Amino acid sequence: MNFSFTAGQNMKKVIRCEGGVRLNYKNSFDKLRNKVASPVPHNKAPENFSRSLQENIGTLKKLFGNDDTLIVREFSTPSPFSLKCAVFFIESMTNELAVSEFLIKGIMALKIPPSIDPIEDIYKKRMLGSDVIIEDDPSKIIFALLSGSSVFFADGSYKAILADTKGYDSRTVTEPQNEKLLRGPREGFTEKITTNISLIRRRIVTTDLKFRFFTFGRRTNTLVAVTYLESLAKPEIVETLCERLSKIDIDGIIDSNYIEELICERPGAPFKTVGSTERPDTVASRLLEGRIAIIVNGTPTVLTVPFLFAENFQSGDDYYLNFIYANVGRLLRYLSFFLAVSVPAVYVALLTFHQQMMPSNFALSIVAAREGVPFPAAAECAALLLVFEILRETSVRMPNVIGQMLGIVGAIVIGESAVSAKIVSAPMVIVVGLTALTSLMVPRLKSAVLYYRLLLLFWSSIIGLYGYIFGCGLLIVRLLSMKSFGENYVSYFIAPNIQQMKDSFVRVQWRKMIERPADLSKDLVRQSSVKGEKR
Amino acid sequence: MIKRIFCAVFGVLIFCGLLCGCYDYSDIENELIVAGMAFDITESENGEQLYLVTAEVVTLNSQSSGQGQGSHSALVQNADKTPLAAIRGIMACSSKKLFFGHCKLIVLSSQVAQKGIAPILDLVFRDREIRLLMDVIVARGCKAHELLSVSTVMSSIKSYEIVQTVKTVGKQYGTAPSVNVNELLNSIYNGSYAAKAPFFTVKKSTDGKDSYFLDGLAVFRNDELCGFVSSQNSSFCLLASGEFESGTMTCTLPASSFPFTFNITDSSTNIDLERTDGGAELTLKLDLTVSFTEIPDDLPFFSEKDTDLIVDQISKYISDNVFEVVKDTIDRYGTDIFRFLPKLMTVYPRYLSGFDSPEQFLRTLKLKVETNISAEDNGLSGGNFYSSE
Repeated sequence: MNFSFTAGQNMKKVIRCEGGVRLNYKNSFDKLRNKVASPVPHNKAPENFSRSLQENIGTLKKLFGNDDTLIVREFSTPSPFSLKCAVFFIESMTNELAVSEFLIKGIMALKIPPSIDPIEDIYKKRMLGSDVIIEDDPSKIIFALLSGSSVFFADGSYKAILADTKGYDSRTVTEPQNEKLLRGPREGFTEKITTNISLIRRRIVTTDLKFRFFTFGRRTNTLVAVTYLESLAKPEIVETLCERLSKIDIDGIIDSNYIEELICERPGAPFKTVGSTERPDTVASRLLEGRIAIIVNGTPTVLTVPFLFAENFQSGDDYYLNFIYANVGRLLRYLSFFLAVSVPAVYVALLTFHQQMMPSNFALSIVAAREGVPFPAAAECAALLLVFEILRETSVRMPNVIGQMLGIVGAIVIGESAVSAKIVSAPMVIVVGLTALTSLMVPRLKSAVLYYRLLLLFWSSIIGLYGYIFGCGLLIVRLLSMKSFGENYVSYFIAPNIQQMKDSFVRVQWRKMIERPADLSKDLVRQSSVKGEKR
Repeated sequence: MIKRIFCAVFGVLIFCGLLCGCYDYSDIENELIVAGMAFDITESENGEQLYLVTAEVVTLNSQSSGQGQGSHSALVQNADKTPLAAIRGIMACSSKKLFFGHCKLIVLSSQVAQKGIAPILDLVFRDREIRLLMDVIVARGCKAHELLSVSTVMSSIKSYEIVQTVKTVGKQYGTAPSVNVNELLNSIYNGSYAAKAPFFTVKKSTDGKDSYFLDGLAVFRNDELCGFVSSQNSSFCLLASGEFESGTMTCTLPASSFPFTFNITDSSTNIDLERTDGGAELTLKLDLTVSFTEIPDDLPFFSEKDTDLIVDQISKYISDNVFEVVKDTIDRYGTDIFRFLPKLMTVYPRYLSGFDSPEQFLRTLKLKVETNISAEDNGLSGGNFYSSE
């Protein structure tokens, strides 16, 4: 595989195409290639390699310095036209059997007559195999070597043959633990970008599906693939994405979250504007809605843009199961978000400002339960929420068995002992428990839920339900003002026609979803209409 | 821009603060919940009349829940010149602030009610904590606070149980409707110058303890108590005023020598008014749905003819009694608890100007009662029970 890229110059201001100027993908990606931050030049890399093999060996050895993983295997082709050759590869990154059997043994069996460029001669006339290319750019040669390819030099040529002999271990395709479904594909992305590309390619078998490769990270040189369906993705969104990617100038990309934070609208906002998933079927469905996916080598999490508010509540099951059952689940997720944000705030407001709004029997139960509790309701609520967050954070990092034990300890300590000891009241434990449960139903909104839950709690504890309403107003204003790659964050709910809203609060039957949702794609028509007429 | 945003947020917060009174922050457990209040009149040492206010407060412990076993109530009292002053004085009896947000009952003694309930209702109407939906009852033959110390069956919070009793009895037996402060105020000031509320008495129960008993309707002229209607007659009052929901009646029909009980499951009352020389003729048209619950042994009802006979006699019984009760109430108290006057004012707005007082008009009113009964769901069958003759 040819991982071609062009290291750009320093970042320049991207000129937006406006008005009548038609955007196209080629311009956008070319601009990106020219503007993507230049990787740190491989130290002491020569501008060109020499025609002398010994000089090239010396150059590479010097370049790698104290690195013991560089293996150099020198050999000569048989007489009478003995040609000195050398194969370079990185130990543990390369399939050494393939190097010796395919590359060294194959070349050693050749009788190569003298020529002007022996590498060209070997490559064109005698080298078999599809994963082999010829290269003369030192930086690309070194990059390939570092990526696990074998580099073959011959005396008398400054060029090298790059053979894809990568041989490092990688995880097999398994179902993602965080995105399990009742029905649907069981495959999940892995850390290997080529595997991930194949998982998408197998689902969308069309030449319309495009993959464009870039490297990010001056030191990590992480390979990133941008993929989209050319006939669906909006050029404006592609342009915006390329503009943002071009501004990335960081020394390393270890996970896709680095890119996610670097390209999102407001990094400080609690709502995500870049989607992420480990499921190839989810990515494929997003691509079919006109979105763009970003695959990062070394992480199973693939990013999708634009990411809108309604997507936080969508799940693969919504599309694979009966739509009635699926819609109940989706509506519950919306309700859960509302409860997770509101319940502590409303409870504290009722307890401290609007006691008369509660039904009398409920009020009596609350008073009875709170009798003797030393803390004000707001402080008690904040403390319990903090304890819950501690428990959650602890159990996430622990092995399963210890995680379960932590849950039991938490339930007993908080649910029983703390209530018995009159440190907290039983209704508050129920409130926080309900809040915790509901917030787990919308994991993509965990940061937003946490942020707005505390915000609303703060306002409610100061000015009661007016504070709660004020906080809700802030939340709504924030949602309405947000954009994801130029698209309104709440597009699903304010789409220009009802067709584009058919996957918002509920998902209608497939046969009725004639158009793609939320005006995200160039071609909105998803299927022929119910009557069967082609659109 | 930042200044503008800051000003906007600050403005909204100030507005919110002023609206809700953030200075009123108080944890619910630091408040003493008042379940009901009783107003009596007492005399001071120097013979001055004072309002005696008794509040039933709920005392709870951690084992209690709602009106369950662990909840108890206690009475706190204070007397002063005005109801508000007396209530303020009660607060001195408790370590916690009294909270009236869950007060559901106001008990007025006959003496207080005769003096006029306007000061009490005015107090309730003005207080931001107190709900206008709290029920009002009158205590007859006992002090108001005695009703809050009787023994109760279901709940240890007497006020809540009394309120529930009124609601249940009003709906099931049609004795007296539940009347809240709002309704009482409306009926006094909406043109009928009269009101009614349930009255309770204290009786000895089988175990020798004092127990409350819903005994009928207290009748008000303007805001002053002027008399009572017994529980036997209160159903006819409610039928006349169109407030009868459902209930049971017992009578002895001419065709039988045994008492006969029937159940009114649905009722509607229409009023027709006609001006006549020197007065007005008012026709009350009652449409009732009745089911026979207990049939005397000597009363046949197996044929359509038998049923028609019973229906005719019940119609006559109801018409006669409604006529008698309405006439008697108007003659004795001169008050319009049946809400005839608002109806008349709607039809003939200037008609009352020919009379010195509404009372004079009511006394000249010619009354006619027509009762139309349909008998359904009799005996054990789902429909009419007929046999072929």
